[in-house]
Amino acid sequence: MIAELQALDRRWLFLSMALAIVLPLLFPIGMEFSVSPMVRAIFDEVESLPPKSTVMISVDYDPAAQPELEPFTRGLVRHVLSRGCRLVFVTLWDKAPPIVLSILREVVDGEYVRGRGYFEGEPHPDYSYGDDYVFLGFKEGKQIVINGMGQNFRQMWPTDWRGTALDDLPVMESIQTLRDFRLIVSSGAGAPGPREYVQQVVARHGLRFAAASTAVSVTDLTPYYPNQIFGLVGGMRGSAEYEQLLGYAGQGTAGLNVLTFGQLLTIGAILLGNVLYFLGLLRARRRR
Amino acid sequence: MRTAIPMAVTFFLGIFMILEFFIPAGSVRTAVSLFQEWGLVLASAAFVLGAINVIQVNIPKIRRREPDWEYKVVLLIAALAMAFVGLLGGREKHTTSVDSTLFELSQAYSREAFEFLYLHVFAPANSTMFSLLAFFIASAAFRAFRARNLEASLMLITAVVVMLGVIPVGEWLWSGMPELTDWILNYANNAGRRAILVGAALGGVATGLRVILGLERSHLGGERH
Repeated sequence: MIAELQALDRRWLFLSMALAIVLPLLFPIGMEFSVSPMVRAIFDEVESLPPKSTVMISVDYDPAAQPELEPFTRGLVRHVLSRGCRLVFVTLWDKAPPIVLSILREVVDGEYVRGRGYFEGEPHPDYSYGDDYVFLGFKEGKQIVINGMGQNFRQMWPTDWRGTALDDLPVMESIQTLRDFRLIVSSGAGAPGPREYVQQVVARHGLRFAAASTAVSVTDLTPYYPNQIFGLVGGMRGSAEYEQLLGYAGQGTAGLNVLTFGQLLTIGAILLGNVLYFLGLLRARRRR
Repeated sequence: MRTAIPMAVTFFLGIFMILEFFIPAGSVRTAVSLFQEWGLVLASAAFVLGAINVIQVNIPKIRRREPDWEYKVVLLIAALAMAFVGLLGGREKHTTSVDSTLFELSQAYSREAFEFLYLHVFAPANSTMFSLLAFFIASAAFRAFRARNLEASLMLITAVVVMLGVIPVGEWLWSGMPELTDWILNYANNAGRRAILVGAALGGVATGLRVILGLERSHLGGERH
């Protein structure tokens, strides 16, 4: 029996994991969870933003990290918009521009401007591209770009993603360096991302900086919390916590359901593997 | 001479970039901006070099019909198709009308094709690769994560606590689980991480100085002194 279990065909584990992922998506369970101080710090900071202040969001992830980071990014955009602030999007990842454009199309224009979804019944037709929000596009250069943004923002991004000069965009009129942003958030899945912002510009220019990262990268960023990074959202759990603070259950909360069952299965696999390992050792000792 | 000029350039730029950190004068900042622009041009040129490299590496293998050469054909076709629609489509979402020129029409359709390829080919493929981790982690957890000695046992217990701490079930089992997880991350983890960070930073400074002073020449194809 023990030998049979030890030689368990791994396809059974794959099947179990598939069920642990799919079933919670089909039949979501609502479990309560607390909000960590790292996530609450970002929420409180956005709550304290004066209207019309400008926030920069650096979207530094690809489709692989979208399930973990996108719920937070969209939640943050909704939150910043609800405070009546201006938004500037940039990306240092070549695979991210279509992701940013979908956020602009679905959240900024689709929800906030037209009064749908999170902003149901509260349209803001005056909130327009160029005047209140802008996407500057992707720039290759990694740390050089981040460093340059700290020194001369306009030199690094002379135009937006469409090729319109920054001087022709009212939303950018007060922005010369990164210091001119009231808040900077990097939602990043690796390098270049939050760590590079910290190393290149945050301490040097005294920026108010928060970050979001995939769960696997959180331990890389916690050494910078709370001095260089005042708030940190980690993976699916962090995204779900932010959604809870905003008062809705979105993709992050749905993802946390999946994460719960996936983690339980993994913990179960670890325990079962170790029980079998020790039973096997005991058996071998008895035989001797 | 082959290494003397690159070493002189490295020395001059390296020293300058260190000094500019401490000299906030306008002229220094202007020069730094210029160097950063050069850096951006070089970084962007690396994309072109990368594309050339992919072609150079794969075409001979396809010609020789090496193992899995069919996949390399797919790679090249996919790379060329993406580059073609991306370059032709441009940045702007183009609209078409009766008066549209052939070029404008091709731009509009290329943009659509780029979006289609990104959303329906690249994004699912990219996500699938990452998603496979969940299955392999479950399998590895069962087969490899064993409490064979004290260190492995400590790691195993810590991993289980952190995994429970990030899911609501952990909190349901014991209300102090998230705090315990935070403690592990903020103290045990940070102590080790910060030590590694400081060590790596000092190593970076030492290596940087060796490169600037010409003691480290391996990047120029030379030897260490």
